[in-house]
Amino acid sequence: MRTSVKVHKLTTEDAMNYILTIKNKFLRHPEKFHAFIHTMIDFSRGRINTHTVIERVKILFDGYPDLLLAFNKFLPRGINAI
Amino acid sequence: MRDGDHRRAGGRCRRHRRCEAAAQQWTEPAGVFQPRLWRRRAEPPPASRPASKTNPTCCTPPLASLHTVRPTPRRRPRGSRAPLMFTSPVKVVPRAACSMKCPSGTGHALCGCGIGGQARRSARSVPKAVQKDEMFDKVVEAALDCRNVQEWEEDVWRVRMPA
Repeated sequence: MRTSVKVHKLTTEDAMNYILTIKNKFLRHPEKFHAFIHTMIDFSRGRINTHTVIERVKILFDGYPDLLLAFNKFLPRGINAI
Repeated sequence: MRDGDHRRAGGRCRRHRRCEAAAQQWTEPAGVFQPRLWRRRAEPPPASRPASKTNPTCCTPPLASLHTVRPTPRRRPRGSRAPLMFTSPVKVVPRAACSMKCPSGTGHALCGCGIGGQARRSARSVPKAVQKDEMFDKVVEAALDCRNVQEWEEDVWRVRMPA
């Protein structure tokens, strides 16, 4: 029996769900969620590059490997946070 | 008989007994014998060779050949200078095309030598950089959508409620 492997293409909805997941994880630490948001803002404005984003996210998500693994899915090809 | 006897004028040669007869042919018509000034080392020219069959080494050469006059060497007249030596004109090595067209301080892109143009044409053949993955941009957009001040205030309020 062959096992079919489907590659799920990430969508904007998946990205939104991921953000909500981060928000729920840090309900008791809203400053971490805000730091993540500010990191994304800095990247969108060109103040930092992808590698800097990864370094910051690694620090914020320390102790939350599931969040880092999910973050890898949104990174450009060839770049991994873990 | 001593070794030097055969060298004296009119003396008989030890090895060549007919030397005396040959010597008589080269004497002056008056009968006065002229002593030899030098001993020949090479054969004389064919015109001056004696008719008799004698060893040329012992024959006396003609007197005329003893006083050979060499031509007077040419001398440059006084006051005249040596002829001028005309040499080929100095060949100017042509400079490279770029060094002639490209003034100092100007890059190849502006000097018109063509090197800059070649670089630009080669650069155009390079394919455009691969576009960035859009998935990461979606995360950024989603994060920016959550940048709602009111929503942040709600979060702060929820944290303070349990206290």
